[in-house]
Amino acid sequence: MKIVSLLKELWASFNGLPFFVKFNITAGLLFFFMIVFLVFFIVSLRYRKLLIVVKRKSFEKELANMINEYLFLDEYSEKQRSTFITYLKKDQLAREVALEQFLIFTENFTGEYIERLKFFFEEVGLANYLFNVLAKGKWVDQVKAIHILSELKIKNDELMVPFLKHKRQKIKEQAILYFIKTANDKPLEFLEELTQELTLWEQIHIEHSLRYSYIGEVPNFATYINHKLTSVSIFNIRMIRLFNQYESIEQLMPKLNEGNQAIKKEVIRTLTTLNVSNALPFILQNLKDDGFLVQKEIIKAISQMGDYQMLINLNLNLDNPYLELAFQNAKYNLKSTS
Amino acid sequence: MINVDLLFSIFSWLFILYSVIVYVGYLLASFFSFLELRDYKQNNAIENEVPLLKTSNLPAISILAPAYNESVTIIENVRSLLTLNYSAFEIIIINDGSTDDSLEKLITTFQLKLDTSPRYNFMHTAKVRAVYKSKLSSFASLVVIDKENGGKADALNAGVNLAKHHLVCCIDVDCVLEQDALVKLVKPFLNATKRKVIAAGGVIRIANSCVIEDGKLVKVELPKSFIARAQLLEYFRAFLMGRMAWSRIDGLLIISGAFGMFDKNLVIEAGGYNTDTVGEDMELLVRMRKMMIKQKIPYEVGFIPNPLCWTEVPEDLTILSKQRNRWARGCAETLWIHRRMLFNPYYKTLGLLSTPYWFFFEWLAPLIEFIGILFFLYLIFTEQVNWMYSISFFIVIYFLSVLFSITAIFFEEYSFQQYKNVKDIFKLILASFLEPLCYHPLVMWYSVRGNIDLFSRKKGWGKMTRKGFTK
Repeated sequence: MKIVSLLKELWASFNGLPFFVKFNITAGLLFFFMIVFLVFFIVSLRYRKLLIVVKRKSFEKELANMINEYLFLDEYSEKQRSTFITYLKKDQLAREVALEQFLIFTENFTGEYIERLKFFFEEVGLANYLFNVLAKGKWVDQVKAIHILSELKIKNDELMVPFLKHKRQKIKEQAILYFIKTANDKPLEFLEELTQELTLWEQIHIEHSLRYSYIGEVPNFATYINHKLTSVSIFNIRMIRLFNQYESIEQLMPKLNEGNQAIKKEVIRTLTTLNVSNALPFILQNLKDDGFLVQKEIIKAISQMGDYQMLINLNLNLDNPYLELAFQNAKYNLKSTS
Repeated sequence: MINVDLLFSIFSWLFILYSVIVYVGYLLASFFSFLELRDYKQNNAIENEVPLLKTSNLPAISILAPAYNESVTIIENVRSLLTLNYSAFEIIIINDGSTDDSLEKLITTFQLKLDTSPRYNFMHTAKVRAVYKSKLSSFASLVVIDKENGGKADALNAGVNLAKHHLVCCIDVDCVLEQDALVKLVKPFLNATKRKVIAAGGVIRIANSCVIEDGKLVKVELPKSFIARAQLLEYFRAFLMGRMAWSRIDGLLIISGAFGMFDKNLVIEAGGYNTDTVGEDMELLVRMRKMMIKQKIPYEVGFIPNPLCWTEVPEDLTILSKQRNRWARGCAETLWIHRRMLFNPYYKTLGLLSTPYWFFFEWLAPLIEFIGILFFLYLIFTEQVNWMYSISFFIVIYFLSVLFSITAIFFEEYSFQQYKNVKDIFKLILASFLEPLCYHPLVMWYSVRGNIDLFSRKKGWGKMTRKGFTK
């Protein structure tokens, strides 16, 4: 009763205060309680993270042991399998750790063991779990799911195709990589499905997957140099250069008449890298109409495949400072090498 | 005789209006920062950067590092830069007329020889005396420009003139970069789709008390001194809350001069760094953005919340005062140069939100605060203080400041948790309570001094002495 009367008294004195003071006290109290709440929240967040680290370590150890048992024990019992499945149902963290462990095992094993891992992965229901995520999960989980499926080379192309046109760049990126990593041949067939330009980031990852994940025959990149998307066309021209596909030079030459300056620039760079010196007259044929980026590339081509006189004879209009600098540099290099 | 009651009433209403705006701004900043950080974390959940180091398609970068009398640390710093994880980059050290033996040390250590290849001066700078390159193939990516002294902006312009590559990364030579700093900072340029990325910046972290060996960060430690801890809180607020939120609404006006990446051709087109202001980093970005808006080219400015660049903050009050003085002048000069943007709907977010924010809350705030203190002192001396009003005002301001810092600590905890020890969290919380009382009045005064110096036409950077990282 005393407290109630004290509170009433306080309330009465508060009401008697001028407006500004009342406002300040209210705001001050509000801020104070928010501080207390946030401090408590921050500290609990930190402790929660520390606990998760401990829990994760224990999960990692136990799950790695279980996968090892499956891979290396001659008699793997039904009981062990159901223990694993029950373990996965423990909580979301256990499932996350299990998925990570499967990825680690996939990285470290080859051949027959990979097949066994895939089988086990499907058997314990993780593949179905990921398919469910793909069907109705959050986009972040979908990205992870596609990544895991492609690393484990678990195929479900039908489910994956729509993701190639997804508005979320990260999903599209993982779907692209999925098709390369899981392909046995023709790893770039998916390019026909693309409707949005490739970013440089995606191009780099496609290149990496082709070089280090895909194990089939190197595709013929010239097949896609006339793709409707400029970035796809440019990417394939670059790959012709990177994989030294001299057999594609014939298909590249007509692209020198290409109106798209970015594509033309890439073609010239590729012909230069492949050292196709007899392409120089064709490279020079539209010089006057070319933009400065192409002209700059032509100067580089001459400094690599041509000679000093050829450069001087270009008769370029050097109004653009970048062009002039490229020209002077080429002159300097050709002079010092001749 | 001043009508104190009337003044109190006006002051109180203005105060309420100001605090409501600040509070709403603070809430919005927290909200947008949270969204931006969450999206960043989600987008980078399974990021694999190895492909970036193995490809031939990665855009090459020119790192520009101006140096003025950095003889003590320059060799160690260059060595550290040379080991950055990136497949194609050149390092351009611009010796801006140092009076010590920086250049001699560089020439001897890296076996530099004169380079006479053609150059083009896209922008006017102080005279370049010579350009050097190393005879050794292991240092082939190192270029040293020796020029007459012209200040940081001029040195950077000289670097841009000589940069071979399309992207330039401007850094402070004494900063410690994370090994993957370039790989991370280049991402916005790689992910560009329909909008051209003109620049990208990252979060600057405080390296005081951290363990640094051979120019590399080995262990993150909380700064030991209170003054550095207070600056740590300031940096949390500025980067994790302020710039993340501005980045979310495309209103970023500054990329820190300590670490930022730019499209070189656009820098040249915009006219390069302005040598007439000490806030050249902010001024350049504002000018580039203005240029893109005028040309009606869709563009964006990238911002990476990862800790990428570590810098030593001043622990000495004299040096701190010079730094804050310079920041205040830089802010005022940039706002003055681009005054037509203020409240101008043509510049959309920049005109209607960013520049007004910088005007009222970055430039004007310390001045208002200072006038407030003077007024309060006047009232004390004339015995006209209404203590009830005053104390209630003080309480609300104090708790708002603390709340702002605590929220910033939350963002640090939510994002990259560089300080893993629970004790460190408590130390930071304690610093949040002390900072408004023991540190903030100082920086407010330094900003006021900066403005006084600006109006009395005092220029210059002021000498920044560092303790150095080498352990």
